[in-house]
Amino acid sequence: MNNFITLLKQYIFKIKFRSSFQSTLLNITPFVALVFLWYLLNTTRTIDPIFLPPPGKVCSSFLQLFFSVNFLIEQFVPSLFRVSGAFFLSVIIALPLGILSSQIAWVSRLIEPMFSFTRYLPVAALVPLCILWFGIGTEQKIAVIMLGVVFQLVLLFAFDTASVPHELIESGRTFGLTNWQIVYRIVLPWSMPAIWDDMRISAGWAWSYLVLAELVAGNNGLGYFIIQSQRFLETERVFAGILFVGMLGALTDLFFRVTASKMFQWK
Amino acid sequence: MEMNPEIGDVLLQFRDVSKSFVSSNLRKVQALANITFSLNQGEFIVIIGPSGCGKSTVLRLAAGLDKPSSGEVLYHGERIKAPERRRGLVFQSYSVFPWLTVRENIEFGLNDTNLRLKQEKVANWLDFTGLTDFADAYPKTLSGGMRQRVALARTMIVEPELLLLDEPFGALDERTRESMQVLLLKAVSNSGCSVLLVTHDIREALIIADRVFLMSAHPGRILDSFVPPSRKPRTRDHLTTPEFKSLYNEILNRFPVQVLRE
Repeated sequence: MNNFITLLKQYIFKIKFRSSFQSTLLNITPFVALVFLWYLLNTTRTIDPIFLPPPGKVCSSFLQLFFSVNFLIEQFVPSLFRVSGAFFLSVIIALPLGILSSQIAWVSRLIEPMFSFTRYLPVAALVPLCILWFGIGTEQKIAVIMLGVVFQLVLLFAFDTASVPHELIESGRTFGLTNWQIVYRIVLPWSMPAIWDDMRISAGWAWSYLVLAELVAGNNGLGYFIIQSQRFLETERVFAGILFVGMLGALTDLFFRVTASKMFQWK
Repeated sequence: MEMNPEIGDVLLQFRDVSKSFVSSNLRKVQALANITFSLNQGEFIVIIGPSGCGKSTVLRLAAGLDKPSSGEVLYHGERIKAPERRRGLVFQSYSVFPWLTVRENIEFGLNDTNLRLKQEKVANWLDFTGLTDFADAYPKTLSGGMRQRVALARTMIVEPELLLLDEPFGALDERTRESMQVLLLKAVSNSGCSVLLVTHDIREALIIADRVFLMSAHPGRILDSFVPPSRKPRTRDHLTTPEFKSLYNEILNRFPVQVLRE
């Protein structure tokens, strides 16, 4: 028995990450623990199942969503369209502004103080205004997401594109490159990994703002689905909806990571 | 002063050039004072001096990256306004584009529309620098010496008239340095371009230069100029001859001592 405890101690304190198996084991441990705790709270009836439905029920509800064409078309597709459209527009607006701000001193002086201020405005507090201005349709969702993302992205992109080593830019100048050529042949390729990473992070924010906008007002979408389920006290569907959004967020993150590791092998 | 008979007209001329900067604590710092010299076509000039003496500023002025505070920098008799392709510049390090492969780096400055001619030029330079096997490698996988060869090829492939080199071998070990010097001299004699090189290595200067300028610091001035004995090409063996030794010692004695400033 003593021997066993010694071995256990050795195992716990001297885990070496030689095998990917061990690190995978560590990665999934918190998830398993969480589900186990949930299961325990449920079977012991510590929390009423109306508020905390059993894991199995949530799981089957989640799978139902997955295979329900109705749900996918009526809730998922509109949300996906809004979040990707708003994110795309945000990047299209923020990238030129960020680059201009990092390359031209007066542009930076012009916009950076204002943007630094604006990005501290709470997006949640802007939702009522967006409803006033844009109604409760897709335009309102896109406006909320863009308000939350654009200002942040401009500042992040400005920072990313400002940190190019001067030797690289000056080498370009000695080849007679114009300012525009310097930007697309040197500044952009050099900062692309950082730009991509900032896009990855802000895509996560975009999903949160989408759900926020849909919770407050709307006729469809994932946030609408969650708030409707709450109104009908279908708590397992509330959980399933939250998990669905979480899964989409994680998939978005994965997309940016995988594409980054393919595109930026020079790093 | 003896003149190399192969050397032609004046290419680059500094006329009483001074350069001052405003430092971060808003004090005016004079980097260069009354620099006057000319570089003739086909000439190889090396500027030596302690670090911080403004050697690099001389190169940046010649490249057109900086403008003089007073005086004039003339190229073919005309004031330099901006960087140009006919004046190539190689930095000490960090100047190879990390997102491009060796081949893409070398062809960066080419704007030939003839694809076959372009490929031929790139292949020649890959071969000349011994980088053919690494053509598709990214710079992060290369040694410091290989990266400098990429930088040299990238600059030389556009056939500049004047090559400006800012301590190009400063970050390399002794052996790599020597082979790079040989490669540089070969590339320069093949192309016939003129060179202005900056270093703090007296031996290096004596082996590769037609003329050597010694600079002082705070502010940077040209103290004197020297012509190394015996015609090029020279090797390390020349350094053991009495003429070289005495010149080496003369320069070393006059080499400004770095004074620590708070």
